[in-house]
Amino acid sequence: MGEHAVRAYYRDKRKVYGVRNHVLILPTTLCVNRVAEMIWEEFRDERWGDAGENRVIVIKHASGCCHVGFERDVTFRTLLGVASHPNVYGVLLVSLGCGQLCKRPLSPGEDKRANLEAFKLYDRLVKRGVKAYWVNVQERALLREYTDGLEQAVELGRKFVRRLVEGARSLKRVEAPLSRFVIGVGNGASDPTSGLFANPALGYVVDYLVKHGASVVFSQTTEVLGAEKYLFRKVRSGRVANKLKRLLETATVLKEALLEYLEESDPTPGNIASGISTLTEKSLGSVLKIGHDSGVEISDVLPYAHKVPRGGGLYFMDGPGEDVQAITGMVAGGAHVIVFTTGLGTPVGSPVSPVIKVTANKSTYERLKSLIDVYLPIEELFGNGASLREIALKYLYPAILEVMSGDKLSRSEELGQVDFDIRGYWLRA
Amino acid sequence: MGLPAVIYKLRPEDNVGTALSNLAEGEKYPVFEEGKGVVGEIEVVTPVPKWYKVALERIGEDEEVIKFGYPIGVSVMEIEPGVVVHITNVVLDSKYEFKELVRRGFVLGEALTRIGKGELLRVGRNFRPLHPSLKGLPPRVRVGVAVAPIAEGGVVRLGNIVDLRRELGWNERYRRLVRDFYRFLRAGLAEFSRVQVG
Repeated sequence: MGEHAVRAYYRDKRKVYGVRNHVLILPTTLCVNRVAEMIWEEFRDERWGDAGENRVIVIKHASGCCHVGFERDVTFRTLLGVASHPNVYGVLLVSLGCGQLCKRPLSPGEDKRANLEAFKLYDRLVKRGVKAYWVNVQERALLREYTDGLEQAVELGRKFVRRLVEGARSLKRVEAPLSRFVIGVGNGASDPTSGLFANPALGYVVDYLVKHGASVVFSQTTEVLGAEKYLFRKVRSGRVANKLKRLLETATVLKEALLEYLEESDPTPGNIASGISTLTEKSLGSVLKIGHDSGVEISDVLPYAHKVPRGGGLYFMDGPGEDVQAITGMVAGGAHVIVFTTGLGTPVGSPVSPVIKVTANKSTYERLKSLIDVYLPIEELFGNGASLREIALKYLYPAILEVMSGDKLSRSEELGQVDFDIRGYWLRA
Repeated sequence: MGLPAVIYKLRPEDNVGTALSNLAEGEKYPVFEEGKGVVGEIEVVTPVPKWYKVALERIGEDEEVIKFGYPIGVSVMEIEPGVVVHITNVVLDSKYEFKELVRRGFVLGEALTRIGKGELLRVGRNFRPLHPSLKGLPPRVRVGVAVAPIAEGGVVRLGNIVDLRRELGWNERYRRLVRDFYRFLRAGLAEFSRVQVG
């Protein structure tokens, strides 16, 4: 295997590589979370793959109904992105019948394919070449009078999932170049070691990944405000600069509209107590994770949950500072794996992509070993004169490839973290 | 954590470093630069708590404080080497921060006096234009209305003023959206919650 190659699952129809081979059960609306879970219960302990890294996953979420305006589109895009994620072998959509993203129930006797095209989520998945099935809870009840529609929906769902699991089990990993993958980076539960060591170290890995052809995406718009100077230095084209400017303005205006003024709210009293003096200092500590090499420019600025182009480059995706929502956006954009730096430690994970957690805080690593994947031994900086770049490439880079190739599970997968939350903008109708 | 008692800096151009342990007053500590090792020694003149910044060289008043290779703020007084650099002697100069963004349209100008909420901004009266497209405006021309109080010398930018002039080339729809968003939000907050709005 080449040094910069990953062993991954190839999906012929979609021409993509996935680092996992999960089967996904996705409710299209929050009302059927429990039905989806009931289907999943039979497959709770099902595992396949060399390290047992693949399984049946149910995503319970709080979206899919009563969205207003563009929030509906964002929800649709996110669910579509996760369902057609490269790491997913096939998906079972569980819909209710009356939700915004649900399949409308058939009346008795109506042709089965009649309104399938109107079921946009399913339609688009089929067009993308994703193996997709659907179960419609209300329809089961309508079609079979005097029987329990719920029980039937669950039975039918399980039948589909069994079929998907069988197919997923037969797929084997093949070697793939790094240029076919998207890697997301984020940070949260930070402490001073994040800004000083972990994020700059991750920056060196990002430079290295982009140099070897991978696409890297970062998000968390609210955490870059204040570091404009740094960001714009990484932008060459006028089109991207305009997009970035517009995005930063919107984020600032949105905050100010809620009567929260950046200069007053940040840095927080907690930040100040740990030595951070200005907003810029705080943001720089966070944004250094996107790399140090001025040759690497930001290729594009993407909306939340928008598909991240494969084939190399650094991308900025709009997203909130909150970890779970930011990770959900990047995963829906197609990130195969997320590298997440932390100082205080967090268990955060994602349903379809492994989340690799990195810390430079030794006591956090020792106390929360079951949450943290990689410890960057910064004492080596002072002991034997290693540079931060050497440490990052020695400890973090191989760990990312190892998890991607499925030789090892990330801590988030071991814990069964399926954190999923779609960004909301305002009240629901 | 087993970190040594050194002052750590990330880039050669940094003029402040971070204390990796609590440092005692009057003692000399090595300055450690990432990738290079020990590059000097600084006598700390005040006690420095862990993770706080220390000046590595003399920083004059109104000079940039550089960490991570980038300016993080501007000093408000002379800082001698070995002195703690924190909110008492460094501020985020938003004028500086957004200097580059003036060109790009983020910053419109500077408040000459304190501007109250709802007050008109007029060139030369209470507003000094910085944005290129506003530079040629005659005195006393109305630029916009403040939606939040702006301090004397404060930055006027999209976000704290509405009803901008068309010369700015702002997208008209976007401008209206921002204005209406404020209006609705403020009205709603005032009516349906006990939040004190303004």
